[in-house]
Amino acid sequence: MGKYFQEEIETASREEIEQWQNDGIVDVVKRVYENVPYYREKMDALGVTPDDIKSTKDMHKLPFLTKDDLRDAYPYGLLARPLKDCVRIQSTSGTTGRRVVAFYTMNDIHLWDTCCARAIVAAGGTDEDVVHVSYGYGLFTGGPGLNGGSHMVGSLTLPMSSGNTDRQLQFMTDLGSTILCCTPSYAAYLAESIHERGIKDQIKLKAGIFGAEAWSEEMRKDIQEKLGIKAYDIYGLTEISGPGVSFECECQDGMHVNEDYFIPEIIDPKTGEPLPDGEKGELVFTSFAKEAFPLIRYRTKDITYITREKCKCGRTHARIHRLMGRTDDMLIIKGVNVFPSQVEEVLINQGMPANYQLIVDRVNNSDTLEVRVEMTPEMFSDELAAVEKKEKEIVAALKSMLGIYAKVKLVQPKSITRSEGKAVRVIDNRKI
Amino acid sequence: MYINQISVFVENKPGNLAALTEFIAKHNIDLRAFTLVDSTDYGIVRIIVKDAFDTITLLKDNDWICKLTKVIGVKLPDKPGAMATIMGIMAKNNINVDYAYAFVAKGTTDALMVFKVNESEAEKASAVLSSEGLKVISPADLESM
Ligand SMILES: [Zn+2]
Repeated sequence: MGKYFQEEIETASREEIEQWQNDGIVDVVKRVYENVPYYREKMDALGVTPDDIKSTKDMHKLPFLTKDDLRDAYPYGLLARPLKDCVRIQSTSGTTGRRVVAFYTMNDIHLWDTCCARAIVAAGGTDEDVVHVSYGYGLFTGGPGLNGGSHMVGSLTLPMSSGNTDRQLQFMTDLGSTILCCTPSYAAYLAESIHERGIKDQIKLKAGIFGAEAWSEEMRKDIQEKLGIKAYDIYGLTEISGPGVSFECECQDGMHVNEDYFIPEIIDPKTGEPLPDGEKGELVFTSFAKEAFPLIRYRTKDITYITREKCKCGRTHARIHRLMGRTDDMLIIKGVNVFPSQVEEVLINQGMPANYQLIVDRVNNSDTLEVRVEMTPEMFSDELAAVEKKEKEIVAALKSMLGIYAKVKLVQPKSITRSEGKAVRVIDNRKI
Repeated sequence: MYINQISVFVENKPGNLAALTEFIAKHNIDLRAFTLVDSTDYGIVRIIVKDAFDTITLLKDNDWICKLTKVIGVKLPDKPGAMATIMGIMAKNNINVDYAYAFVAKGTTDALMVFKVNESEAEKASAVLSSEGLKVISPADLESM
């Protein structure tokens, strides 16, 4: 197997890619307008019909779709094919209320597996590799996605799922796992366990494909050094298919979006206006090739920028930069605008996974901000002074980012309030 | 020669320390030593057990934040001022002690002292103590304690 999983597609000319996308957008708009009343009503409300959409240049006329729409339409409201054509669901939790359910036909599963296969080959995978999948299996897309991609490449697939470190390490050494797929925080944890037991010489890993949470360059360097591997970022979301919507190549300089299936856009999160390449804004996807659950202009709330320049690896598909935060709602504290994504950026810059919560309160007519941060093995030391020093560094970094003082409280893992598995980022106790 | 100490992060809030001790009891973790240092917001529990690797894996898999630290264990001679004597030996040899604590070995009246020095000086510290005729504890000694 060569450098690409599907060379002709992955290195197609920009003209070819644009042609696929122009055909794709016309087709998908027609399909949803005819088959999905929810879309038809939204388009009718804006006075847009399928005839108005002749190419991707007309996309700005189409309404956006948000997670709220997916919740409103739960469970079948956005289904574009009869239920009997669907073979699978996957699901993701929301911050409030209902879950989001995504449907797949056999072709949709094939499309998703193909995305993951491209990601595995881009990370150096072949049919001689042993792919160790430690993402969760079940409704979560991480495990099933990489599992399917690995089958397609022809690699030996170890469906480990998450947890049970002893068993993970035993299989890794006994069966000679070469590619590890999991969240970056679990990779860091495994790296530490391997280091502690002094079994690095029994590990055959050469690459890791890590996604499903935000991570920093520092964390990448750390994992690469500790495990002696090359670590690749992967991005995806259940609503669009799952992991593999975009993936890194050996250049580690942005993640290639599978543009034969998905159209990425960057918009101004406030006005909704499309932004030019290279400008930071909210990432929006149209999954035009999906059969059961195609989404049009779905707002991911993820902040990044896009480049369509040809990559040194030879791939021509657009790249999105490592995620730079979320378009969460802005808070006004002591008259200063504060975005939770700023706090996240500070934590990521400090080399920490972004497990945090902001507690805003009003004491004696003055706003207070407390940032709770879940302790990680990397931050922890067996000496109080070292932990206190780390805490002070976070306070200082927050002060310079936000312009206000925030008390930092280090808390135990998983102690931050979660709703349906997702952390509650902001608790505002001010009675205004 | 060194032994492995496990440090566990414990947030200072009601019931948290109890949760850790209950966890230890529930899993029949055989404790050799247990000490706590704390600030207003959090504490660090340091424990010494028979099998540090198994225990740290169990703790981590259950979401306790912990770390393995190499520490030196030494048997305290049964005479007044023994602890000061050991600290004196360290000072004489220019070895900085980050922290130290003492505990009594199970089923005996033997007092043991545990101390942490810079990792690069651990070998030296253990050699100096042995040369002064003190018994430095090995992981194998922990097994039989
Ligand atoms: Zn590339």
